[in-house]
Amino acid sequence: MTALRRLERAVDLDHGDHVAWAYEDRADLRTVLADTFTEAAGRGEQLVYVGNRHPAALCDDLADLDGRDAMLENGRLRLHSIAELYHATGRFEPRAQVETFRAEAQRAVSAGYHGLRVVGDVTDLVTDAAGHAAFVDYELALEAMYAVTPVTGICAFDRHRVGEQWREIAALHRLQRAVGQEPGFALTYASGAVRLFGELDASSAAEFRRLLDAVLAATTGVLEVDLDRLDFIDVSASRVLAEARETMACANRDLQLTGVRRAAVLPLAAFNLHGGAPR
Amino acid sequence: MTVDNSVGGWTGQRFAHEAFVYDDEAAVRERVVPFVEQGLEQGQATIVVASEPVREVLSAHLGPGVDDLAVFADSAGFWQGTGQATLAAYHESMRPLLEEGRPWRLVGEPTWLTVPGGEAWSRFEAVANDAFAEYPYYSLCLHDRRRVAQPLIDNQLRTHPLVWDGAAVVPSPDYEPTEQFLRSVEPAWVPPPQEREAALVTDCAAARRWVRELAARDAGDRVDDVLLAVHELVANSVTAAGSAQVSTWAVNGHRVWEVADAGPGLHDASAGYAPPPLDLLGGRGLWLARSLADELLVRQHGPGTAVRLVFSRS
Repeated sequence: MTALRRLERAVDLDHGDHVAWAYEDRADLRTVLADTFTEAAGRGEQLVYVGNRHPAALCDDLADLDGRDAMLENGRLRLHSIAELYHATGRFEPRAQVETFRAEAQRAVSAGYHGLRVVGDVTDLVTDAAGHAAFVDYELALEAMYAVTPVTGICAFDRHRVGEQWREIAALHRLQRAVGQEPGFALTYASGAVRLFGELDASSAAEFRRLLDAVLAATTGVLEVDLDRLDFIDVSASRVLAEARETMACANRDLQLTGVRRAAVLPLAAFNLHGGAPR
Repeated sequence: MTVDNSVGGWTGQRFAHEAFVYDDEAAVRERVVPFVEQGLEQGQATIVVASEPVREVLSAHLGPGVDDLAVFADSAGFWQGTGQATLAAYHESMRPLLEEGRPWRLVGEPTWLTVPGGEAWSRFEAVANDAFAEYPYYSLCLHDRRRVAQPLIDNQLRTHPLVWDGAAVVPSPDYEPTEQFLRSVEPAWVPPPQEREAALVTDCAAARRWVRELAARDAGDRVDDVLLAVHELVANSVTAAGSAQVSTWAVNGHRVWEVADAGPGLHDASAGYAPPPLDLLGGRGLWLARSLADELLVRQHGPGTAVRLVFSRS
């Protein structure tokens, strides 16, 4: 499984890669689109751009993409509005949306493409406070789907509009880009297990707590937390796990740690958290 | 029921801490046996962690009653290699009694004072007076004058508020407040040398990268220990003050890491000595840092705090 990675450019991406990209302005977004779609077209992938604006404006965002018009013409490149793709039923349904992308990827492969490359400007979904929990659920499910589907996705956000929420949302992606503001860790969930990547410390404990709470709220029974890809954890982040364990114990649930590295043993042990023999 | 003279004016509400220095087993019979018997008679849980001779005296007097002791352990197996880990082990053994909420008695004989590194135990004895102040137990600490050197016994008398005068429990004339004692036995806080590396940090991850690079030079297989210990101090400072001044220098085969801030932090010299509280609140970072370093010192630094970690160099 891919480790946590900070990106400089939206290239060198493969199937299963799920990127959070905080763009500074439209020019930055246009560069991202041109870079990643140029790479994807060269690999024979189908291209999908989803944005929260009129199709003509979306087309303008692709002005730097060589062969844009021809690809629109022959169906390799498709444009969708947020309303059309995400709110087709009148409200945002995370699981249904993930299934839509899975089906899109399969259709692309059936049509002879090498896979699907999606860029979604989902700023409006993130800034919709009422839909925050649904969006977290969506990103978790998307990450799990990406792991087994020939799709590469970039979730793009207007950094200035998303503000402080950026770090929490970005942590749902193992590939991140926001100059100087990356959360430094990632959290994924699949098959009853949370997997942690990167470094968790006092500066990211609040985001970690909110994301773990979201997973707890959306799951039942035993929750495995795999720390195998976690390069560093301190006392503050260990406290978040200890609190989750207490919360789960109150509901007769169990939190199990796996993949504990030697350097993580002491901060975890400060809260009587153990995960078997350290690696 | 006889009058209980074995605990002086202790009412079972708070912590009482007595040093009892003995010359022979007869003195143990006179002081320790009544202390234990009175405790059992009053239904108070009693823990005994003592040397073999002391436990033989108690076994001979208590007979089958020794089974009524909550713990009856040999001191030799109780030392955890460091004072901090040993105090934590004591704390853990007392946890069930603390949760019961009833007063209890402890007979402790820290024979480990004479093992390498064991002399630092006196610091933890001092800190226990504050850390366990609200715990409802009487700790009778034994020291065999035949086996423990006089300077170590002197330190015990400076860290225990109570002593036995041969007939009754009385205040120790040598007792010193915790901070005063700690400052007298900890390494001196000397000004840092001109030759040092320093960085003002506001970001914990960036600080770790800097520390790891420097620690790789001479920390050997303890790079992760250095990284975690310094990080916990930096995290405290960044949280309290928004930034931390991190400095490091080598001296006498050791490497010193200093983390200073200008925030309203703690200036408590005993910080990090005692086990963290049973709840999930703070206090663990400094405790962890102290457990990882060979030495940890705390001083007031202007309006804020400076903490030094000392590691041996590889």
